[in-house]
Amino acid sequence: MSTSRRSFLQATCAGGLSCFGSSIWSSLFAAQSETEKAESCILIFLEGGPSQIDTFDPKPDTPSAGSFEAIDTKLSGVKFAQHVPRLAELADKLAIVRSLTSMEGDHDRAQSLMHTGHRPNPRLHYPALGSTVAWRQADPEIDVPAFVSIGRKFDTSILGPQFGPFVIEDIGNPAPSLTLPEGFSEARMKRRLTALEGFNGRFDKQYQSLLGNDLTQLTRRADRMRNSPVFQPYDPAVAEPELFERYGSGVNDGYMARACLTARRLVEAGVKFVEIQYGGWDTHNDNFNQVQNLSASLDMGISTLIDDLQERGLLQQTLVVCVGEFGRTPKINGENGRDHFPDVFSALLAGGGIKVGQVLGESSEDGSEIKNRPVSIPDFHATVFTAMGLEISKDYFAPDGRLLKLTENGRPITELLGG
Amino acid sequence: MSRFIRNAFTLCLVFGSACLAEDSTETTSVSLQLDQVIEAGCAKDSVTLLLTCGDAEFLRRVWLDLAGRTPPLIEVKAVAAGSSLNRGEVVKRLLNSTEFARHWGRIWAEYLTDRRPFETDGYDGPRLQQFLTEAFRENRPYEKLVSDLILGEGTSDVNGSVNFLLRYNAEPGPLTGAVSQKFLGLSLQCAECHDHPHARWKQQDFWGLAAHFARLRKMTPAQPEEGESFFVVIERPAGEFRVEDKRAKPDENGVAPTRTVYPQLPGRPRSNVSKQRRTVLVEWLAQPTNPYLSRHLVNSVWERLLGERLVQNLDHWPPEAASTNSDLLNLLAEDFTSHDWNIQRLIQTIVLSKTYQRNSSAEEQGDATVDVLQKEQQFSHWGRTRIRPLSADQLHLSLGQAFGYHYDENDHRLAVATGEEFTQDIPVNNLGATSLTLARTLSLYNSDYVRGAVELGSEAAIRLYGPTVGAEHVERLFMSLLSRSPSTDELEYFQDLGGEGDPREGLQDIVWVLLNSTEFITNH
Repeated sequence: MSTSRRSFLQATCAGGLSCFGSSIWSSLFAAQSETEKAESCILIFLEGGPSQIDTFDPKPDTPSAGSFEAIDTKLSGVKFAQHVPRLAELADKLAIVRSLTSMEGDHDRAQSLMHTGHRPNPRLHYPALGSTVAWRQADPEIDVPAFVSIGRKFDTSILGPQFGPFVIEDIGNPAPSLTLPEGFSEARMKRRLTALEGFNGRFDKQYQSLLGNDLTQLTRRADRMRNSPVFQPYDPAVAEPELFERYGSGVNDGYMARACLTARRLVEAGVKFVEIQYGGWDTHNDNFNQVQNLSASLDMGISTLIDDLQERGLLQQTLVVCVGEFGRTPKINGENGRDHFPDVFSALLAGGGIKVGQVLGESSEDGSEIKNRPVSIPDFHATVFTAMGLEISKDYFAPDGRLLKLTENGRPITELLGG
Repeated sequence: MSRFIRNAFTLCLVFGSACLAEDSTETTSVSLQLDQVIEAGCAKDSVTLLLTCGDAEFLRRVWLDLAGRTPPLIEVKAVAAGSSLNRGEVVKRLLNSTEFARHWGRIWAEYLTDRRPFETDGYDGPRLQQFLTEAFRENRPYEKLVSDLILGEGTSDVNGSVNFLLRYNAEPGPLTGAVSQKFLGLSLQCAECHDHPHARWKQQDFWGLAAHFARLRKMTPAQPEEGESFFVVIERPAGEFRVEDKRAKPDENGVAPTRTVYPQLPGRPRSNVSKQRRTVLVEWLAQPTNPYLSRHLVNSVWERLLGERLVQNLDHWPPEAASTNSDLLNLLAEDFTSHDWNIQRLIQTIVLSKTYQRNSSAEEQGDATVDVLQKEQQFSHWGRTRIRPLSADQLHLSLGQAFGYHYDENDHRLAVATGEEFTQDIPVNNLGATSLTLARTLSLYNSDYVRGAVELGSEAAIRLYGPTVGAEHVERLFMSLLSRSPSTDELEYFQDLGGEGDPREGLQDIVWVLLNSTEFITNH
């Protein structure tokens, strides 16, 4: 740690240990006070903005309905659209939010808001959910990165590069550089790392920077990933073919099946936050055919993920979240599509820390506005953070010493918490 | 202030001897004005400016920014040996070099297409890059460059510029979005579907602009020969831009009727279309009364060289109240347009300013305990240079410079003369597309690519100075990779590291540490 950072922290944190965020301390306290918090989170991000009406908030017998029918779910009186039958069957394991509302209707801005909980600010890059969780909850002793993203890239936030995600681009071989050449000793790698740390420390001192330290930590992280089997090449079709089929290996290109199964393996290995990018929901035209296809993979992927986590005893400690950046218009346009609609849309939550088997909030009869219990994006973030045991009312300080609030006045949805 | 005047005077003298004396002296005077605007801004908010960086640091910074790689050993050695650097000469030489044209052609091709310049099934990326490289090489006036891109016509493998239109399918909607974003700095694309929520753009503005592209058509050869792939863009003699008419009733099949939108420029009456429509658009773009084209270019070049834009975009231009940043944008844009849209002149003005040449570190000012907010203020006032990560291309070219490294699937330790063009996918495939990520770190840590570079670098040092690790080895590797000579204790530090055990391994360890170091993978 550079001298400038240390002195700055001492100056701002006269209160003592709390703002060093030692994970040992926080996990000890958490274990005593909040038994129901989730240990890790899997976020399935439906990029493009999925049509809520054609998935989790159908409007049968109204002009908004479109060509899909509504089907019954496990929860009495609650209906889903027809192409998510498996999720309907396990709706008692879900909390369905039908009153999310966003302030942004442009993809980039809305995706940024949904990930950071703040409207985009060019001068201040707020961290994404996964980065914040990695920063607050990461176990420094573990061999896997705290935040892994399957397919989605992120800009570096003010937390610095260490808390960015490890981005998996090729699920079959997530980290191709992990095998040291034959005969390369551990002692030699250790010597290299120590020398790098010292040299980067000089850089930080000369440039009054934190970057050298951040990058050293990243290199150390890369080094530790060698110990973890989860980043070795893996083919579920060979290793667990039946389960892979349940995840939907044969549906569409099999991406969602592979991604959801990989997310489960990552969480099992100790990753705190996994984000799965599942795009294609920007259905300005031909909405119904597209949503039907996309739903098929989504339905099998998430339902099997929930079952699989439960079978392994991991569901109680894993928060599963599924949401896009906004919803789509109740009105069907001339191209048989639906356009961007940030006013009201839906999300699914399941697993650790969540009271499942309920619907929260309600949209109006034709789906054009919220009827009750609006949930803002900051509220949604506050809920995810609280479910994961983060204190949202506290003032935190970014590694460079800046004050950072986890959400912009977000309040957790108490009705959803404590499952 | 006396120091400031003295520096300015030295710079003028330097330029007095140059062959383009008149022009360069004039550039320098704009550099001075630029610095004055920034110094005034800093004085007003009591922000301490950092000093000008040393020669070694300047040499590395400007080579990376202009040529896309670290400086050649011979120049590093000269500075290390104490000969003072003629910064104006260095900049002039770089601007005239092939490497400058290639580097900027490459980054501009990526910028215009949002992709690496590959050959795709819709357009010819490498050919577009080649066109841009040629434009940078001959310093084509920017206004001319833009008009070449917008007026492109013909075959994709012959006319490089037409690939810009093809990247956006030669369709009015995507092209209008791209032109407004890439050339004007406006987020007009939002107005394709609705009036812009925050800016003044109306859907009518978008459509009116789009109608200028209404007669473009992309054609694909009906029976291409084996392995042949090209596209043709033509302008048809007739055809109008039609959009859905929301006021009219849908027909019996539920299909809404369409209406014609005629070419119209924002804030103007309907365009006179006796000329080719795109020509009307280009003339409007490059008019002196149109503030966007020049300001957006200045803003983008500034971002490349200083790490952040002066203003985020131009949606709200002109601003309600003038600021240091808007004054700077005006100053540079006015100079730019009144000197024939000369991009090299603009770059020269910026890199020869004290602002570009500021330190990243305040250590020599004895100010070791600057806090984060002060630093933030120094950055936002342009009183301190940002540390910027190198791109995959810059890293690849710098390794080429250091060791003659030219990774290749078949023979990855093949040494070639530096400055050679490389295969587009080598840098991103091996180093990852994004800087400062764990994926990039993993590549630097132990990829096949980096292992090859480490071996080649250590072998080169052994060939020169023998197998026992000594001061010469460390010195050489520092100059090749970090473009400076090591301090005494750095010499000791690395000799210690390399001296343990097998000397070949020891040298590899030194190269590995330098190559992974923050100092190497950033520009500062």
